[in-house]
Amino acid sequence: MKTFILAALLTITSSFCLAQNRFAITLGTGLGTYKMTDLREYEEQNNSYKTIDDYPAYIYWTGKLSYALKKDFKIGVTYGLYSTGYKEAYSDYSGSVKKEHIIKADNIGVTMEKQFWEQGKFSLSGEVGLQYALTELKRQYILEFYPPASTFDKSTYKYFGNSFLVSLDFPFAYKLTNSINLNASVGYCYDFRSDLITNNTAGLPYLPKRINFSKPCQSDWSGWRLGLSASYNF
Amino acid sequence: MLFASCIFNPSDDDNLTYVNPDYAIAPVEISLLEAGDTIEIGGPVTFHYDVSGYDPGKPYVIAFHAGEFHQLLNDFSGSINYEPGIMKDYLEASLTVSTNSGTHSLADRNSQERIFYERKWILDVNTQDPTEGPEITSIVQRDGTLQISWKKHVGANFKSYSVYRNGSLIATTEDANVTSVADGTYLGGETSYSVKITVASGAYAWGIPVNYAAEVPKLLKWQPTADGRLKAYWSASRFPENFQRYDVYAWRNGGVIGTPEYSTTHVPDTTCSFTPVFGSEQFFTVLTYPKVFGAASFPTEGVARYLYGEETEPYQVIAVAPGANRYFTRDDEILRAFTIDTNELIASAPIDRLIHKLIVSVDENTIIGLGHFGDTLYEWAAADLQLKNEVDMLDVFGIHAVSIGSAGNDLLLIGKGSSTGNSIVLYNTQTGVIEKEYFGNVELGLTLQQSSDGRFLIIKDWNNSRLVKMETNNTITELSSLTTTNVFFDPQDDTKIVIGSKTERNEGAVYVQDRATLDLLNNIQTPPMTISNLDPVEGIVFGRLTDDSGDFVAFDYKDQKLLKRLKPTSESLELSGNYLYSPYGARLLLK
Repeated sequence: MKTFILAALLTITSSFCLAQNRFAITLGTGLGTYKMTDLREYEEQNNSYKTIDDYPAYIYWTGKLSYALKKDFKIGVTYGLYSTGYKEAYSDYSGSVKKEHIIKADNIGVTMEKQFWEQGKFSLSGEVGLQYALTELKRQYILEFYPPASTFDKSTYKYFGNSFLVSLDFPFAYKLTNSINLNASVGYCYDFRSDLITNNTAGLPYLPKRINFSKPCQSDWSGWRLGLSASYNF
Repeated sequence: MLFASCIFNPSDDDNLTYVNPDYAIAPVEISLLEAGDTIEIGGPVTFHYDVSGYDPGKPYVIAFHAGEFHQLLNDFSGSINYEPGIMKDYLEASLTVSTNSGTHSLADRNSQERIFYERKWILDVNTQDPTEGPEITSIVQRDGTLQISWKKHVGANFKSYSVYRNGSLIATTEDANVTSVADGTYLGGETSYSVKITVASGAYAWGIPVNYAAEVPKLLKWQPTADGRLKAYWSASRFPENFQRYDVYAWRNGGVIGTPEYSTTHVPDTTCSFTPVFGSEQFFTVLTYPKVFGAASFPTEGVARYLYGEETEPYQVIAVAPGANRYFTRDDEILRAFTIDTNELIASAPIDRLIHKLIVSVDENTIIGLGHFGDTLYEWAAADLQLKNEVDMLDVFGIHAVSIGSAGNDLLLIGKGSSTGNSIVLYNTQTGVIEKEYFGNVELGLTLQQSSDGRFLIIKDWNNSRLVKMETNNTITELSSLTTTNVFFDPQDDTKIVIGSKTERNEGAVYVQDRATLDLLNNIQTPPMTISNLDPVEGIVFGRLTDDSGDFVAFDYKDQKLLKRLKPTSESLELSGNYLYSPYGARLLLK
């Protein structure tokens, strides 16, 4: 399925490229740091076992379709996938317990890219983006006791949030061929944050802050982005 | 979706920790005071539990469970109020005690690794109206009363237990936990108990009656005492709580009448003595009276028979031959001979019922009987009661008395002589010839005695005796008319006569007088008595005291010793040798 989708996108962009050579499709990945202040506090306050993962920097994925209005100015639409998570675990002869919280955000947005500098095959640009992030926090609690207790408990709770992100990146491009660029970028993304609301009808409708139950935890994708990507111009 | 598989994947590190899984915790003991594997309940009930042996440093969870009912208990001992929510069924109840293992493992910290103790019971719940009454489980004597216990009723709306004896109510309680009563009105004997359960609605049910019997005070033994009385021993009442008194009666026939011989209010006082009636069957009754007369409370009694004196074989002892170790009895048809020492029947012979008098010959080999009309003499061999001779005495028709003559082979007969009026006849039993006939006005004579020289006679009538002298001219001369029937020749020296005193003379003495001159030779003191029998050989006088008691006494006037004191009786008694004989088949050894 993944192969099929990738082939389709390449086919489409290729056809645009042949027509105008103003379009570019960029696929990239990178390492992003995520603030997740509320969640970190929450986990810290609810920590029972050893923390294995604490919302670490993690690989993100991006895709962008851009159009060059001018030679040095492009606009585009983007898609990105951010994810990180938290794990707390303990295991002994009597059983094991794992708290695995995975948070991800599908974000779509628009970008404007202005090229500042070009020399030979290299160029440097500045890119401002605005994304709308659809955040999902999946909290999973797995508790298993070995015989004779022999119990297994797995519970999953999901929380959702929607927030706007503003990003500023500086892509550094190398023109490999007339059609293909290799890019490296560094930037920062600011998240206006959103409350994490659950669709579970039982209990509180949100993930509460431990220190103040009346307020929900918020997702916060703010952080640095270091990325690598490849663009195909058509 | 393109990147869905690329989202954050947590580390595989599960932080395995090594914890010592071993744990050892002292077991706890769980007890329920209403112990018993099955507990019957008929409504709200309070259980009392106790948990011991626990570790004070550990947290415990104690819980009671009964069907759908669960209750956490805060303390290691206490009570549980439980009300069954069902009418009738069996429920499993349990008391559980649990605590953590203490290993601090994941399971321990999540209360999944717990030490668990449990004790179970079965609750037999029945909240319905009773269909059967309480079952009596035991009837036992306790603390001088009778303790009746029954099985606790299991049912709702309890109102009362009622305990009945022989259908009469003796106790009621409205406490469902009281399952026994003490019957303080029971004194012994056969009886029956039953318990009735009544509930608030008025419904009731009877338990099955249970019979019970305990010994009533009864005669244990009789024992003659040295002073001629009879001592009775009876068993003590087993129910002193309700004891009021014993009344003891000794009676001959006709049941318990008159005043008791003895009465006491002390339970352990179980003996008394009284003067028995010699020769008659004695009956003994002890009436035990309760303090509280319940509906079914009556005096109890014990009856026993006692024949005072050695029991002889049937009927009247009519002759005794101490030298031949024989005594002879008769009834209407049979003459019997018994040994004195062993009381053994030796021989028997048919007799004419008209024979009313027997005497024993001097040599004691022969028994001589006199026909009722004084016209026939019979002679039997003493050894085997073979009839040796039957003599027609028409010549001395109307014999009143017969005695052995001084010659040994002769009989002295008093009767209407063959020629002139009453006379005394000396009849030779060897030849069958009347050898002598003494004439005189001898009137009636019942018995005769003759002195060894053949010259003196003592003739006894009903009320007096006469001493007469037989003269050589075959006449008799009355020397003295003695106002007593008890005159005898002294067997040691028959020139003397022995006279048992009578009221007109000095009472309380035996007099020895010269037979010819009637001079008083000796005066032997006896108790104040009228003397009806005297055995000079043994030196025994027998008669009745002249005090209010009227008791018979046997007195050894030679040794000046009271031999026996006996209950008054109207029966005539025979004194012969050491024995006193009753016409009702008893004899009494006096010395």
